[in-house]
Amino acid sequence: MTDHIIIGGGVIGLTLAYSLACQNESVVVLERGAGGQGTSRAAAGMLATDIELREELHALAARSRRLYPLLARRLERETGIDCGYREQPFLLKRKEREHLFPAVGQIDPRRLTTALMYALRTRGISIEEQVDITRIEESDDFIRVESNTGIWTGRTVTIAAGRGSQAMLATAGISIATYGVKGECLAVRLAGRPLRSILFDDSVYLVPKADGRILIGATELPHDETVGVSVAGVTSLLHAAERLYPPIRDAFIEEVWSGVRPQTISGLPYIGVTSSARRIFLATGHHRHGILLAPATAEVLSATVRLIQKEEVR
Amino acid sequence: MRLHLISTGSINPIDEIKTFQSLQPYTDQLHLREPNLSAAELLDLIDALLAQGYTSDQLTVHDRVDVAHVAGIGVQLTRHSLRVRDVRRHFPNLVIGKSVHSLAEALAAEAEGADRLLYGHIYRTASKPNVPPRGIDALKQVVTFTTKPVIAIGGITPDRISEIAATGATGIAVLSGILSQADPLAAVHHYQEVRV
Repeated sequence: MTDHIIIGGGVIGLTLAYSLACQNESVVVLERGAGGQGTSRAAAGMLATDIELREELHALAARSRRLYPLLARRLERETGIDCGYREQPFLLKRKEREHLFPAVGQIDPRRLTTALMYALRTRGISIEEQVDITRIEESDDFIRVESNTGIWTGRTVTIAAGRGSQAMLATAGISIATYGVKGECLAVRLAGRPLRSILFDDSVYLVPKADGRILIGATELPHDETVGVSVAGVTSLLHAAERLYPPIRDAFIEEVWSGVRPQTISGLPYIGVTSSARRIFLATGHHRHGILLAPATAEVLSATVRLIQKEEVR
Repeated sequence: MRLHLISTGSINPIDEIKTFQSLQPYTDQLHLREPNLSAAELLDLIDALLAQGYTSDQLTVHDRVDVAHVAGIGVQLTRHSLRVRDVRRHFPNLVIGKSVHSLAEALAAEAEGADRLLYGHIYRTASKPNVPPRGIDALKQVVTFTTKPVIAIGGITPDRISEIAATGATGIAVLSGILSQADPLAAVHHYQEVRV
C-alpha cells in the first residue's frame, strides 16, 4: 500500500508529489494522459499580480511567489533542468490607468513539469500514465482507486485532475461544481528587439520567456471544452497584441495551442479536506492560477494529508 | 516542549548527513552553526537536508542572512551578526531568531522584529566555561516580559526539562547533549522521554 495516491499529473499534482517525496512519504501519481501535457502545458507561467486575483487568494499567492525561486533552485540542482524562473518588469494597462510592477516572477510551465517528473522518477516515485480512473472508494482503513489499468490502495488520495476531478469525485459520492474555460494561446519569435517586460491589458498579454519566445494569450471561453485553436481566437489575440505592442507585427508564429482551465462556480479553488470522506483530499479548480498557486497548494496539502498518517501511526 | 538542535560547529557534511536524517522526526528546529563552512558549502548542506526529509521551516542557519534567503530557511542572529532591525527591513518574510543574554537584549530584539529568542545560557555548560550561568529565574523573567517564543539554551539535560517547562519557555536548545554524544539518536530519545 502506498501512503499517498495523487490523481492528476499536472503542475498541482506533481508539485504535491514532490513535496511529499521530499518528506520521505511514499507516493504514486496517476495521470489520464501524459504528465504535464494537459492544462499545465498551456499556461503562460506568469506569477500574476494581486490585481488579477480575488482577495481571498492573496495570502496563498504571496506564499507561492516566495516559494517559487526556492523550488526552481532545488529542482535545477536535483535535475539540471532550468525551469526558467525569472523576474522582470510587468506593465499593466487598464483603460486610462497604467501600472508598472518593477519585478514580477514567471516560470516556464513545461520545463517545470518536466523537471518535477524527472526529480520524482529519480527518487523512485512512479508516475503512471494513460490511467483512466473509474472508481474511488473509501473504507475505514484505506482508500481504493480503480482504473482501466489496475487498482491502487493507499492511506490518502488527492484529486488534482483539473476538470476531470468532478466526475471522479462523483464515483465516491462527493460533488463539486466546476466548468471548463477554454483558453487559446500562441508563441512567436521576434528578432532584433527583445521585449524586456511583461505587457498586460484587458484583452491580451505578452510574456517574453527565457528561451526567447514571446507568448501571446489568452482567450477565455467559458463552458467550451473543445480541442483546437480557432481562427477567431488567434485573430483577436493578434489584433490586441499589435495594439498593445506594434513591433509584434514583424514576429514569426511558432506554435498555437489551447487548454481547458478548471473553474469553480464560486471562483475559488477547492483545496483541502472534504466534508464526507476522511481520506479524500482536493486540489482543483485553480482556473487561471494553477501555476502560480501550485507550490503553496502543495505545501498546505502535504501537511494536511500527512496528518492522517500521524494519527494512524500513533 | 520544542526541541532545537544546535550543530557542533565542526560538521562533516558527508559523514553526518545520515545522523541528521535519523534525528529529523524528533527535531523541531535544526540550527546550523558552522562558521567554518563557506556559503556554498552551507547551501549544499541545507539542500542535502531538505532532500532527506527536513522541511524548510525546520532549518535555521546562523548568522548568514544571504544563505538563509537563498535557501528559504530561517536565520539566527547573534551578537556579531547584522542587526535584527536591518535584516527585518530588507527581508520582511524571513524567520529571524535572535540570541539574547539578558532581559534588555530580549526586549530590544523583540522590538526590532525578531520572531524567536534564544536565551541562555541557563546552566553551567562546557561551551561557556568562564561565563556564569543566567539561571532559571532569569529565564522566567524573560519569558514573562516578552511575547515571542523563548528557547532556553545552555547545559540543559533531560532531568532539567520539567524545570524549564515550568517557566513557560517554548522549548529547549541542545548542543553537546545530543550532537556531541557517541549515539545522538539514543540521546535524543532521552530528551523525548521526558513528557511535559
